[in-house]
Amino acid sequence: MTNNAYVSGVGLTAFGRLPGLDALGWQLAAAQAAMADAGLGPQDIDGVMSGYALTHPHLMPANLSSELLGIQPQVCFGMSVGGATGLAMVAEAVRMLQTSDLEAVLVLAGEDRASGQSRQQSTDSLAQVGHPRYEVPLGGTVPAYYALLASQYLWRYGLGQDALSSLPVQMRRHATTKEGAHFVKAISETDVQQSRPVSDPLRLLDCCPVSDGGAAFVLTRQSLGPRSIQVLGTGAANRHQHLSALRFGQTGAREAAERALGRAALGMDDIDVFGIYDSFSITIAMLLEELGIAPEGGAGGLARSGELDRDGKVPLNTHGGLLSYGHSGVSGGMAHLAEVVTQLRSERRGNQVQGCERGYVHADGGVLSAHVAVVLGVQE
Amino acid sequence: MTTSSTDWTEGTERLLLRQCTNCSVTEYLPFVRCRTCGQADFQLREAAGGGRCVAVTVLRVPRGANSVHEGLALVELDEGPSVMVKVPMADTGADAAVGAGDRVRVHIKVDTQGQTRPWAERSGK
Repeated sequence: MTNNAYVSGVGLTAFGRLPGLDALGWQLAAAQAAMADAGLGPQDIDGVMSGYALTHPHLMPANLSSELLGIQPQVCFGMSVGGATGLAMVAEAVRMLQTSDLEAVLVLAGEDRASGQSRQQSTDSLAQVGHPRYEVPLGGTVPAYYALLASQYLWRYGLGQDALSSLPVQMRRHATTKEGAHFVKAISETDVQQSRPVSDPLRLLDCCPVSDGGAAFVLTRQSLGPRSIQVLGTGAANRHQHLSALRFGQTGAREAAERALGRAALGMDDIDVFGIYDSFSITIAMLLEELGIAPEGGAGGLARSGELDRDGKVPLNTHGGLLSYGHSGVSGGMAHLAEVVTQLRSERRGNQVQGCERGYVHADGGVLSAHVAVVLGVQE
Repeated sequence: MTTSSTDWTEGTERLLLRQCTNCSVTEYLPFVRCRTCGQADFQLREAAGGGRCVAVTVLRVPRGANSVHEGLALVELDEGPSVMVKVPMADTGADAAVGAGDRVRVHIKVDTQGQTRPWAERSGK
């Protein structure tokens, strides 16, 4: 059973505007939930990785959490790859389990991103993904950079301003029945189109919220039983940092997917349940299309047809995604994996995707800059 | 061709591009190594200014208790690279005066607040 790795523990807190815990508090809550879910104690963990938190920058975040949790790991470090950090940590944990003597790696993230800083602080720190000399001085923010992608997308494919509105509607439909989601009230395409303009053509409901919350996983070298979900392949690609250097339709998403699916010896058609990064309606549209899941210009139509629903051909973000479950920094991109693992464990009760055995999870960081893909499956 | 490397970001009214002396690919951002061929030698040249606007957004910039609308765009220059620029707002004030797909001219302008920035103006469809 060498060269295998399993997600054996999942900890996902509620997301939302939930004052009370600080960044470390969210990280520890998620970590303890993941360890309890795996049935492992501090002495069983020999690797710890922690994602960056905007509200709590620290030189040694993983060491800090380890000390508090009574863990004395061999390998311990923090990571920052923007929104791709969570899956990048999972991919690294898999590599460590496959190539070293580690038995169990804890991956954690969380922060009070909504309650622990002002909206302006949040906007300002996120805008630093822009080029400090050639982009940031022009006044853009992260929503503005994605709005430029949306504008380019609509123009290239000759689509109207409402072409993306069905995507947030579908994410919300999933969140209405998901405990712990930031937003649970159903919305319509009209609601999206009439919400406040943020940065044309994106409106408020095209954008994910800023949330508090945390997520953590325990990955193990051995299966701990049927609830351990096997990591079948991981892949990554990093082709640019700044929007000005992005090549439309060639962001690296496809390479990351091909690498992960290649290692799993599977095709996208073999996947039963999907968790794909959806920071904005345009993000999920561009990713679905570059990954070949939707035709060019067709992601909105795919959502409108109902195929992204739990019972559709491409069950996507059945927890509500960043757009509705919420976005608490690094842990936001981990919630997709938590949901896919829960689906593959057949533990989603009334919201279970029937007969799902293979899952695909994808996260991006920056402006579609960093991509990590993870393919998961129930054990043979 | 030019030898000085100062551009609008340091207040000089010009838009500089960097052409790789090995593979001839032209880039805008000041990469240290060419991302196409890996070489490290670039020739600086001033952009001619012609290009096509491929994306436009309208920013709502807080100004006191209110917010003002500002246009931001991406232009694909005729030389190849994409450049982020400001665009003027239309007289109505709600939309930018440049749309995705428009031919534009990019030039460097010192705005009313004394800031040197690249702007694009529509030059045709």
